[in-house]
Amino acid sequence: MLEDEVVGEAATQLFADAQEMLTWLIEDGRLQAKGVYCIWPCNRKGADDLEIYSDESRNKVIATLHHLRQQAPKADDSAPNFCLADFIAEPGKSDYLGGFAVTAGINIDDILKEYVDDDYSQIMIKALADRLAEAFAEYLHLQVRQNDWGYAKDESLDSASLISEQYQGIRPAPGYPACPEHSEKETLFQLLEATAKTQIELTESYAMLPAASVSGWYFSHPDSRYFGIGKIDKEQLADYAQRKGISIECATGLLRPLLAD
Amino acid sequence: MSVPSENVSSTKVPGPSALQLLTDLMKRRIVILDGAYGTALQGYGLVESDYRSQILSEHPTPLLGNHDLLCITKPEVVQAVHRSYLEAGADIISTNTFSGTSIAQTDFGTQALAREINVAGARIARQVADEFNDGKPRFVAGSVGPTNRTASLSPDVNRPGFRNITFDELVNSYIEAIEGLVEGGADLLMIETIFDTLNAKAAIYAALDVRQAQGIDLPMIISGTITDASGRTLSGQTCEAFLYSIQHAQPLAVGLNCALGAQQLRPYVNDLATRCSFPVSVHPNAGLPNAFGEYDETPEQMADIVTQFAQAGWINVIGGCCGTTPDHIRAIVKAVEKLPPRQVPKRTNQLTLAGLEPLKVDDESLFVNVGERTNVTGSARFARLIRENNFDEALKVARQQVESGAQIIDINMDEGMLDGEAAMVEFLNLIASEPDISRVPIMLDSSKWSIIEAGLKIVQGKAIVNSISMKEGEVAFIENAQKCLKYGAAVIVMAFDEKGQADTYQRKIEICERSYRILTEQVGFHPSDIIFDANIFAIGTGIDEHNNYAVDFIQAVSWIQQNLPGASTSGGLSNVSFAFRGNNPVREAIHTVFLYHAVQAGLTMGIVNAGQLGIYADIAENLRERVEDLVLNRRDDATERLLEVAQAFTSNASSSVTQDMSWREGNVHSRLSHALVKGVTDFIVDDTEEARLQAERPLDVIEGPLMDGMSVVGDLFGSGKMFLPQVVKSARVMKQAVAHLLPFIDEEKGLHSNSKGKIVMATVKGDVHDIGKNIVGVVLQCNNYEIIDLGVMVPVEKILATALEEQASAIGLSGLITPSLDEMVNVASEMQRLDMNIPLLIGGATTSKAHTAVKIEPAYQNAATVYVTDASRAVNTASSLLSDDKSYAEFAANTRAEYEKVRVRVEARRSKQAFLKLVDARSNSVPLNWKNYQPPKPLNTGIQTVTPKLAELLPFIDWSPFFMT
Repeated sequence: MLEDEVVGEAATQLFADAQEMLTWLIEDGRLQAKGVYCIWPCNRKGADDLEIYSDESRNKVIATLHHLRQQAPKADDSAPNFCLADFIAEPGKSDYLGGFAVTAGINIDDILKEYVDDDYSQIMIKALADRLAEAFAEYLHLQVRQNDWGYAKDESLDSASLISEQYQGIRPAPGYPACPEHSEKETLFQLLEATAKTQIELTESYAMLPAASVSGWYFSHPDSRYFGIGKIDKEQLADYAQRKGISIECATGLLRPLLAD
Repeated sequence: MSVPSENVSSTKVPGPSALQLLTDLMKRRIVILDGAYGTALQGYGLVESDYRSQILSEHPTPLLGNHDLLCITKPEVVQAVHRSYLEAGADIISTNTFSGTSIAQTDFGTQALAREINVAGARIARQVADEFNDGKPRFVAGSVGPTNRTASLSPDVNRPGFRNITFDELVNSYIEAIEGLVEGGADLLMIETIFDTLNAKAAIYAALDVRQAQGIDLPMIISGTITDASGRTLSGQTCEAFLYSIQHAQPLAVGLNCALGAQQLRPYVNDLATRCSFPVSVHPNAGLPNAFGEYDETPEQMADIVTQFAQAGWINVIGGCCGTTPDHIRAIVKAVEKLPPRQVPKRTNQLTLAGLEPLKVDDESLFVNVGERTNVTGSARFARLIRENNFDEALKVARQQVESGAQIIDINMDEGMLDGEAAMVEFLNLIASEPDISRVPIMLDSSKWSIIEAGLKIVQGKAIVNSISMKEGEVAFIENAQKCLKYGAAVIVMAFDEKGQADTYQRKIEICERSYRILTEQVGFHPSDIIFDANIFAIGTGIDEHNNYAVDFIQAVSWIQQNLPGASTSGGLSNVSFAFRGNNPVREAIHTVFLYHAVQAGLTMGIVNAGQLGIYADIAENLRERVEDLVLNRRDDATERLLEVAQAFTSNASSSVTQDMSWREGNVHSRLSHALVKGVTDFIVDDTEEARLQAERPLDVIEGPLMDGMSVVGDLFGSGKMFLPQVVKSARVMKQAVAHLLPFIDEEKGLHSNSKGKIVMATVKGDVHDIGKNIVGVVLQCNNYEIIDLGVMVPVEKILATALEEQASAIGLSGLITPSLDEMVNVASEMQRLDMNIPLLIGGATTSKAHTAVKIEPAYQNAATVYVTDASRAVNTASSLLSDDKSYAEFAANTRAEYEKVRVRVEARRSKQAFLKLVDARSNSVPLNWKNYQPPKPLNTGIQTVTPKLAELLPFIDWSPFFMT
C-alpha cells in the first residue's frame, strides 16, 4: 500500500502522522487499556446451544448461550451447515469455552475534548484506539492460547501469520457473521462481570462503550473456523425465540438483518 | 455467409507479420482468446454419423466424441463456433485440433488422419478469420494438446521406470501436426493444457524444428495446467519450475489454462505475473464443475475476476477454457477493454533451473552444491551398483545427496563395461518417480554427446549439460550448443579448445571469452544459461608446474565474473585434492579452503560431495595454514610441509550426515504409517512382519494399520499436501507389505476360496483416463481381490457380459470427463434391466457423491451403488460390500439412507428453495471426530483481569484496516 503508485505518497504521510500521534498518546498516559477474560467448563446442549457450568462437576448451569446455524443449501456436498456450537463436545466429554472483553478507550473522551476543532486529529485518535483495541484482542488471545489455556505453548507466529489467523482456535465476537445476534453480549458480560472490571458498558442496542472495545468467545478446537450465518427463515426464527425464552416480535427485532425478505 | 470479393486479409501469410502484429498489440492492450469448443459442439446434438465422412464410413470403432474429426467431416459446425467467438470479440481463435496428433487419435484408430485434421483445422479457422474485414487483425492459433500419454510418468504403478511414450515418438507426432497447422494457415501455435512438461518440451522441440526447416517465425503461446490443490502440474512441477523449463521456446506468451476457474487460478497467475519475463496468458474454466459436470460461473462472475487480474496488472492475453461461451468472452472483452496490459519485465541475469521445483541463482545467492556421488567415474561404489543393475541402491545414493543438501545432482554413466546410454535412461526414468530426488535439477554429465542427448529426452525440468567445449572445433561446439538450446538446457562450457585443456590463467580466460561470444552472438544463448568450468586441477602433486593451478582457477573465476556478464562459474572440487587420495580429512580440508577462496572470488557452484564439506573456521589451525599455503601457492615448500602433518589426520572417518531416523522409534503401527506416507520401502518387510506377529490374523494388518496409513495418504492428497508421484510411491510400499503377508494369509485359508471376490473394472465408453482406476486395481489386488480390468473406452455390453461370464462379485466404473457421467447412468440402468444383483462402484475425477446419489443410484435398485472417493477408500468399501451378507446389508442400507438425504438436499437447491429445514441443516453439522479428540483443559480458570501498557500492544497492531478507514 505504501508503495502503491496512486495512494503511496498520501499513505506514507498518514502513517507517519499516525506513528507520531501514537507515540504522543503513550507518553501522555491518559489513554488506558483494560480487559477481562475467563475460561469455563462448557458442553453443547441440543444442536445449537452451549451450557456454561459453574465448576468441573458440571452439575450447575450458570448460563446458556444460543447460537444460529447456516440454513442455505450447500452447492458442495461435503460442506457442512455451520454453527459455532458444533465446535464444543456433547456432555460426556469435558470441553471448555472462553470469553473476553477488552477496551483501549478508557479516558478517550477527556483527550478528544482537547481536539474539538481538529477533525483530523480526532479521527486519528479514534482510529488508533480502535487499532489498539484490536491489537489488545490479538495479544490477549495469544496469552490465553499459550498460558491460561495453554494448548499452543509451542506456537511461534510472526505478526503477518497472526493477522492471517494461522493460530489454532477462533475468537468470534457477538454481532459478527458467525454469531450475528448482538444480545448474546449481555450473557457474555454477565459471565465476565465485564462492566465492573473494565468499565465497558453495553448500550440498549448492545453496542459497547467506549467504542474502542472488542469482546468475544474463545473456541479451542483445531478445526474451528470462522464462517457467516447468512440468511435464516421463519422456522429458525421461531426456534431461536423459543430457546431464548423471548417473544417472536422481540426475536424478529434482534434478527432482522438476517431474515429473508 | 458470402466471402467478400476483395479479400485483402486472405493474402496474409503466417509468419513475420503475425509475430510483429501480435507483439505490438500486446504492448498496447490486453489481447482476447476464444472460449470452449467442447460445450459449444455438444450443443449441436451431433451423432455418430456426423463424425464419419466418406473416408470413415467403414471405420470399425465408434467415433462419437472425437471432436477434432469434425474439422474434416463437418467443418461448417466448427466454423460456426469460430465465428461466434470472433463476433464476441476474440482477437485469436484456436483451431479445433486439441487432440489432433497421431498419438491422441490412436485411441479412436484414426491416427492416419492426423495431418489432414490439422491442415483442415487451420484452414477452416483461417477462412472464418478472413471473413472479418474491419481492419482489426484476427489471428489463428493452432491448438496443440498434450496427448493422453505422460512422458515423465509411468502408467504402471509397479514399474516406475517404464514409459508408454517416448520423447522421440512425441516429437514425430507433433511435427506432423504442426506442419499441418502451418500448411493450413495458422499464425501461431497454442501449446496448451500441459500436464507433463516433458510432453511440452517435445512439442516445443518439434515447433523449433518446423521453424528452422521452413524458415518461418511460428510464434508459440505455452500454457500449463495446475491440476490440484497442491498447486502443481499433474507431473509434479510447480508453476515456476514449469516456466523455467519452457523458456527456451522464446514464447510469445506463457500462461495457465484449464482444470481451475479464474478464482482458483488467482495465486498462480499472480506468481507467474511476478516472475515471467514474457507476456502472460490465462484461459481459465468457467469456475469449478458442479456435481453434474456443469459449469455454473456466469459471464459476469468470470469477467469480475478477470477485471481484478487486469487491474492488478497481471495479464496480457485472456480467454476461456471448459464451460465458457461467447457470452463469457463478450463480458471479458467489455471488462478489460479500457484496462492496460501487463508491463513485461526484462529477463534478468538470474540462472534459472528446475526439477519439480525451481532453483534460482544470482549474485545474492550462496554457493550452490552439486552432488557428485551419482557418478560412475568418481564413485566405485556407485559404478558397482549400476553394473549390477542395483538401481534401488543407486537411487538411495541420489536421495542421500539431496538430503545432505545437494541442490543439483550430477549424473554420470561413462564406464567401459556399461551401456552408458541405457543406464542413464533407466536411472533418469526411475528418478522421475522419486519426487524427493526429482525435485532438484539434474546435471547430465558425459563425454559422449549421445548419452547427454538421451538424458535430455527424459528430464522434465530444466537441466544442465555437463559439458560442451571447443575440443573438437567450433563447428561441433556450435552444433551441440544449438541442440542444448532446443532441449531447453543450461550448459557448462569447459575451458578446452582445439589446442587442449586450459591449464594457465591466460588460456582459461581466452577460451571462456571466445566461447561466450560464440554462444551469445551466434547461437542465441542467454548469458545466464552459460556456466564456465575453468578446470580445477590437482595441486600438491610434487610437480612444480602444478603449484599455481588453484590460483589460476580462482583468478579465472574472478575475471569471468567481472567480464562475462550473466555467466556463472563451476568446477569439480574433488580434483583439486587428488594427490591426497586415501587421506579423507586432509582432502576435506583442501576442499574447504579452496572453496572458501573460490567462493569469495565469485564461484557460483561446484560439484562436491554434499555430505563431506567442512567448515573453514573449524579446521585445525596448523592444518589450515599449511593447506592454505598450498592452495594459494604462498610457499615453494608447501607440499612437503603439508605431507609432514598429513599422517596425523588419516585415522578419523569423515563426517557423514545420517538421515533423521527418529521415526524408527515409534510403535509398529506408527512406523507403518510413516513408511506409507513417505513412500519408504527400506524397513517395510520387517515392520510388516512385526505387525503380523502382534496381530490376530495377518489380514488384520492390512485392514488396520496399513489401511489407516493409506487413509492418511488419501487425506493428504485430497488436501493438496501430497501429489500424484508421491501417492504412487505409497502404493508401492503397500504392495510390498501385502506381498509379505500374502503367504501367511494363504496358509490361513482353509476351506475359503482363494480370493475375496472378483471385481470387473473399466473406464467407460468414450473416456480414456485410467491412472486412478489402475491404482485402485493394484490396491484391491494387494488386498486379495481378483481384478478383471477391461481397460478404457469399454462399452456397456462388454462390461456386463464379462461380469456375468466371470460371475463377478462387483463392478467398478471409472471416468474423468463429464460425458462419462451419462454413460455410468446408462450402465446402471442396463444392470437393472438385465436384473443383475451385484454392487456397483463409482469413481473418477468427474464423479461425486451427489451425482451418484441423484442420477446413478436411482437407476439401479437391485443392489448397492456406492461412490468411492479414491484408492485409499476402495478397500474399505469393497470389504463392506463383499465380505459377508450381514455387513453388506448394513452398508447397503446405510448408503441408501445417506444418498436419500443427499437427494433431498440437492432437490432443495434445485427447486430454488433458499433454506434447508432446520432439522436437515442440523443433520449436516460440522463432522468433527470426537472419538479420538481430547479438548485441552485450561490451566487457569476463574475471571482474570489484565491491564497492559499500550506500548506492549504495538507489535500486535494490524495496520491494513487503518488505511481503509
